[in-house]
Amino acid sequence: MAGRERRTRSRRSVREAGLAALFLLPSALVFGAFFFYPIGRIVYLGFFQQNQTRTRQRYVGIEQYADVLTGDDFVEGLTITLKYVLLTVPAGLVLGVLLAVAANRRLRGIKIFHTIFASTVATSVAVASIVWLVLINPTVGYFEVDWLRDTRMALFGVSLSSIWQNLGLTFIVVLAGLQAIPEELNEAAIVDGMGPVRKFFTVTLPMLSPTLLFLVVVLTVFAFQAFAQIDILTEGGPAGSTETLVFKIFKRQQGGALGEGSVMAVGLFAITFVAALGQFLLLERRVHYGSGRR
Amino acid sequence: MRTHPSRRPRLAVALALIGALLAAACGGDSGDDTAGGSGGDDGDTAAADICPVDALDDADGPVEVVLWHTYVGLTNRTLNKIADAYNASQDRVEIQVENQGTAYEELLRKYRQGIPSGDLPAIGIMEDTNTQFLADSGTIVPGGICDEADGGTQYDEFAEGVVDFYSVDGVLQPVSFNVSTVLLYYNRDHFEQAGIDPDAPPQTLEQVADYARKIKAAGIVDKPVVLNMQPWFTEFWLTGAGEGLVDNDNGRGDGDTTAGAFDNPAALRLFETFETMEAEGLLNPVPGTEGQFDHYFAIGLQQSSMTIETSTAVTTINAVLEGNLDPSELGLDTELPPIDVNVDAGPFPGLDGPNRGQLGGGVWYLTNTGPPEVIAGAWDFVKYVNQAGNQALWHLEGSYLPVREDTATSQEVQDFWANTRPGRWLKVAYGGLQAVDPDWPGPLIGPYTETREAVRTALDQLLFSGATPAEVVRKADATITEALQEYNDENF
Amino acid sequence: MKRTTLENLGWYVLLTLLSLVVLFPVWMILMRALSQPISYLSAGQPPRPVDPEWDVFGRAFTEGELGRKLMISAAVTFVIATAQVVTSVLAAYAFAFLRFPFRNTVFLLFMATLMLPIEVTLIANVETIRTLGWFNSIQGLSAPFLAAAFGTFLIRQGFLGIPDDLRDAAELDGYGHLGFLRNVAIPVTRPIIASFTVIAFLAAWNQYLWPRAITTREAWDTIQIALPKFASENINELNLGFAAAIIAALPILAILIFFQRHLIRGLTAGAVKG
Repeated sequence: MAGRERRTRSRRSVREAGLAALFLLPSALVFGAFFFYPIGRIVYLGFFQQNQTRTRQRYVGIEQYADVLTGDDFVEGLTITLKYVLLTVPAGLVLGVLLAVAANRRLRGIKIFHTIFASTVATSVAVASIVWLVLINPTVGYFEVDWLRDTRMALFGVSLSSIWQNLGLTFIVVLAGLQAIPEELNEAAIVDGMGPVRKFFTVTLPMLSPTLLFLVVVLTVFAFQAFAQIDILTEGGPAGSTETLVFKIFKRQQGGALGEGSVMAVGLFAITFVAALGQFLLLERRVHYGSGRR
Repeated sequence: MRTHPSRRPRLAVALALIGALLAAACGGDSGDDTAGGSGGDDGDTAAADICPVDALDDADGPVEVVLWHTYVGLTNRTLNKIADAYNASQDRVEIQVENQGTAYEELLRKYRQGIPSGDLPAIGIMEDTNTQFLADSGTIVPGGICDEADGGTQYDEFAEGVVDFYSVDGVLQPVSFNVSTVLLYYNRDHFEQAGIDPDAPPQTLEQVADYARKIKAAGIVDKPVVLNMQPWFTEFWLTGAGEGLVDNDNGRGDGDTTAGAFDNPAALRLFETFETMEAEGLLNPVPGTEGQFDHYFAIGLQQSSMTIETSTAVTTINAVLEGNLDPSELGLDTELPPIDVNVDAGPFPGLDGPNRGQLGGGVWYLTNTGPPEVIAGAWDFVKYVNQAGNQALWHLEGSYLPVREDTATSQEVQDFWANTRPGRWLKVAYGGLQAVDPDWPGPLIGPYTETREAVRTALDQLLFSGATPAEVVRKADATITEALQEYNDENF
Repeated sequence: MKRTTLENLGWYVLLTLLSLVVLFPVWMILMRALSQPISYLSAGQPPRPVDPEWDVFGRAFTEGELGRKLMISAAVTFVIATAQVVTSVLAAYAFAFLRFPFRNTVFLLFMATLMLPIEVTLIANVETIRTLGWFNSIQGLSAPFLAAAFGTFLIRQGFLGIPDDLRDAAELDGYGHLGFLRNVAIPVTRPIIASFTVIAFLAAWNQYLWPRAITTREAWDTIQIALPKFASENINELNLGFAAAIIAALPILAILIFFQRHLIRGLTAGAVKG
């Protein structure tokens, strides 16, 4: 009796595992071919140097890693990428909170304002870049500024396009966060005699912190991936002042220095891995806290 | 908490999995040579083996010949017109014209992408600066070889200087030539208002600065000169002054090209002139990136009085200027009077005199990666393009300079030069073509993209970052040396 | 009472001002699309079109061959979004309801792909696509994006939220796993799946780096790639480029308007949902 039950259970679990394998197969194939295999591949390619036409390659060893990862190009690309994070993330966050706080109230027609504030999610990076290319051009632009022509200002000029384009997303997410704050908390604050500013800092902001943390992560990832805006607005110039790590990798992918580009990509991977691990730990804590609350 | 008592073994499985994938990743070298035969350095092979000009006879059905280019506007229309006429004239070859962006650099990137897999067009109209790299890449059929296989008369009427300029070790590499030079475009009204004879445009760059001073002093415009800081203008100035970018006689000598030669007196003089103009507020520099339009608008809006651009820009400049004059574009209740910007063109203001520059432009390369009938079809089309009539069309409508002597002297072209504004300008540009020094025609460099990037960075650092001429020239020279060494190192 | 009216008025003024700031760039582009560049600039860039050419959109559409580019983008987006939904639902089901060895490890491996943006793997993936001969093709443009860890995670969360009694009831009704998936799990989590679909669509439509890297023929340019090219091809008619940019944004704008609820739920899923 007991034996037969165990056998059916085990037969069932084999069937279940088979079904699981079937269900997981499509995703696993894609992830294997385009996520895990390429990691191995770039690590491998990092040991090689290609010829001019990329029809042959030869082993150059770990030296290439040492040279590239400590070289000026990689360090410069990383610095510019981090600068780009600093330019886009805090500004995007502050503006998103500003818009969401302003629009989070019961007014007739507020939905129209919500749609307007969210509207920049409808623009792609390419569209946003063209918009800003024109706005900040000194000859044909609305703001006659030389930002894209100054090695010190070019990255800032590029970041305007990103900040504006991210506005819709940050607004939507912060607004949702605000609306999730229990009404009793707001009422309690008013009963306690808090003014709007104090209420914002003692009630709203702490309640919003998981949302803001999420946004910091997302916007940072966006900033790390920034490519189209640079490709369209400055092509990395002037004098390489807007060449982020991703842009440098792309240039090498196109130009033929695959080995060097691969080492840079491995470097980028290491950095995103560490960042993502940190993010995962933070989110894990938050999710746990959240499910406990509900 | 979501901790698992058995985390360690699972991690081991995950690592094993990743390890397996890593192992897979390390296999499968792309190490074999897929790029096809070597183009022309194989002395024993008969020319017809490399360039099978008769292979079209064996083909069944029309052969599709893909052509890559980067032309837009009128040039694009002219190219398509010639291709359409050719397609209609016979049924053995079908030319497929494909635009690949607006910049030569972009096209080269795509070409390089295509080399390992042989995913190349049959014809690429690419920047002439690619000649050395393409010859080294072994992916092209040299024009000289096709000519040899096809009777050896194809280029008899072509200007000798042009054929020499595009030859590597005495073998002509491209098959057809869309050649241009550089012109100075200037606003006649501004000249007159500043007391400068509008029929006597400046002859040297120093004179450009002098005229700009006068225009600025007269309060006509704030920044009299607008310059798109394209690195290739710098190449023109250096070639015209007898200097170059690299050693080994600017890449054309018998030895190996191994080091930069950019740190030279002419480059310093050029950069110092830029610096002076910038410091005096005479110059509005525009970063030399792809698709840059600021300088056209600065001229069109009369914010600046002078600019330097390729001679093929006559059509663009005409279009920008005439945009306001086209009555169909103007509404009835227009609030603005049409602005007639009185622009004219003068010779390239070299460092030492007018027209002291070099040739530039796009040249046609045949690739050797396709089957014989495709190469033959491409060559057949090229012969059609090279006919005097079509060369005239290139000039009249596509604004490239005549490279056949019989095209330049034809009545049609002479009338065009005498009677139209673009014609007048292109005649000046043709003067630049004639003035090219055959003994010092311009650089021949394998890593041209990198070399140019070094010059671009130098210009950027000088004008957009405030570095000194001596410093940026020295740095660029070192970068060029590095690029050459890497290129030679990658020649395996 | 009076005070609140006044206060509301104040909010309206502020919100209107903020709207103007957000919309200003779009408005400027619209004006520039409608006006001939030199006329518009000579007129001092007014907030209205100068000698408007209303046909500019039609002209941009034909001259830029935007129809074809939009079709390519639509096809790629459709393939990616559909595939991501299907693969994510299947994987999510396995992680939520099926027991199999190393489930947590496999889940962790799946989620690890979230840390791997296409930028990191670009060089190797382009090589793979070249080996497969998939340059300039729909499969090349979409292959790396046919599965999504984010979707798997999101839909799994939805599945885990299905109450146990619903599962028990389904079992009593004699549903196997496939029946349960089709008749219970998917319908119940439809809002989450819909939200993810919208997000997948948005991300696929806006791709730039990947198509830029693996298209070498103009005929395969997506709208995002074609856009900046087209703008710089028409230096003397910048208005055409701006018109094209507006056309390219319209499909997503339509989604924003018609699927706003799903879009917002999808975008906020990671932030406010557990």
